Amino acid sequence: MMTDELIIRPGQRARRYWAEIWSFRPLLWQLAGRDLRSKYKQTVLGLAWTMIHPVISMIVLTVVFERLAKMPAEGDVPYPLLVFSGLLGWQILASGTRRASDALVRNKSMIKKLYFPRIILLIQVQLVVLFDFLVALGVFAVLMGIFGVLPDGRILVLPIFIMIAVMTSFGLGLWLSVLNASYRDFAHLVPYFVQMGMFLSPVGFSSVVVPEKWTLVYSLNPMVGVLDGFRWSLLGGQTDLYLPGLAVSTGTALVLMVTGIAFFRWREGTLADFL
Amino acid sequence: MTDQPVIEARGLWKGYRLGERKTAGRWLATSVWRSIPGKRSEGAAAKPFWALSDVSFEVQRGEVLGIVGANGAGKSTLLRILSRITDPTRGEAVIRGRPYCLLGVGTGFHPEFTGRENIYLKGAVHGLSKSQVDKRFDEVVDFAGVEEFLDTPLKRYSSGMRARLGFALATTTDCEILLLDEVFAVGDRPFKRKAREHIKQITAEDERTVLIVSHMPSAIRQLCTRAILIENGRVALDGDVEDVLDRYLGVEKQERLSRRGKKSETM
Repeated sequence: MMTDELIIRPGQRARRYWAEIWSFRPLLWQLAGRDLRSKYKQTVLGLAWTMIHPVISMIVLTVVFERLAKMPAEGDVPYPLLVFSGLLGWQILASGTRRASDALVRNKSMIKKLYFPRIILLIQVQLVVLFDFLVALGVFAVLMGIFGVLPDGRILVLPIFIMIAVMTSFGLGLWLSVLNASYRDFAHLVPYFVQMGMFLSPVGFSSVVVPEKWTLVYSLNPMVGVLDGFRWSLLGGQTDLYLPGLAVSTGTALVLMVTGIAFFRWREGTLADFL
Repeated sequence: MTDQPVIEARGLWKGYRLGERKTAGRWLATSVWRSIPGKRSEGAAAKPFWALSDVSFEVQRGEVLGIVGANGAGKSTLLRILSRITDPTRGEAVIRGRPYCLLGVGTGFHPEFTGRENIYLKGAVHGLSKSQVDKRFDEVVDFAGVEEFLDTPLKRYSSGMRARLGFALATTTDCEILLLDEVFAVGDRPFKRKAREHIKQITAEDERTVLIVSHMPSAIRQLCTRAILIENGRVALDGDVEDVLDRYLGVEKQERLSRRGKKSETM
């Protein structure tokens, strides 16, 4: 018979790290389910909020960028759809980082009393974000019907762009959650960065307005690749996909995720002391 | 194989930084300051406080080990390390158990969650699926006596209710190793008796290994087969329950006397 032998030592998280997370998936479902239930149960409009929120943003951004700033659309795509497809991708990062930044602080009572791989709390955030994304995608489908724009086969590539968005959101979330555990200042900073990021990323406008010589540099922002990809796959490819830019964006997303995981694992063992 | 100890602590150290936590601004300022050559001496890293220093001991299968010591001696830090809530700063501990699970009995887990949700949460932390928790659910609720409050958030529970629920959750799982931190200090008299009986039963009927941190000499005397005394983060004595308690209570008495002495001096 084999005995399970567990060795506890400083920073000892490497052996079977991912296998252990996998074995904790009941906890993951538990926490994600709880989050969604409380979110949709305790508000009067419940699910409707998840749908209303992007619609309101869409209206505001359309007024600002199309009517006031006179930004060009992509081909003959209705501007509201251009904005909404941008918001779809942007929400993954925006609500992902916002929720992740206080994920550890919010659950500190659990962290201080129970052992579980702390990274579960951050994975859980992404699950909730993905759920919200799917609801918003449903709203988008209705809007497309209203505007009479139908997606083509390119929509099959959409999951790749969703994945890049989640990688970015997860990576940043890992960094921010740990930093916020030590320095609560980050709780105040994150909303500002998210808001600024929305204007720096092509959410309310198309990236075609960026001068050509800057597009590759602009793609260092991973959301550029994500949002271009979203529009390309959802709006019938009015503009070609700029592959070098997409590669750069994917690279940034990967770097964020890999460094985020490394940083989190380095600090994971003593989080309970800092909260 | 059975000769190998279930818990083996080898030179465990745990240091905490004392003093006020720096804000990000101050941290940045001092980092910049220190990066200037010749300015290094200013604000040299604060000396850590060693909550545990070089703690080593072994626990054999089926043993019930009592851990005693004054407040702040490091008992709870030790249990937190053994239950993997926080890493040691130095040293290592080996845990051999199958199925491996360690439990610290605290006073509830997530204050915003209801009693019911906390039961499933705790189960989930031990890798139990919903149906596996379902099987134990009634037993837990029954033992804790919280039936009417299952759908109330834990934060509205009384401390006694919280402690009962925590105790019930910890002891109704089939863990081979139980870590109990001050579980007998809470709850009313009947519950305390019930809790002690329960632990006694658990340790008697199978080969479970239990670590008990308690300030109550009677609990240690009744349940434990061995005890260690922790003083200032070190193992001061490891051995017979009565010897350890004698020394522990003796020290306590001396402290009380000296305190009284000081008081009378100042008067």
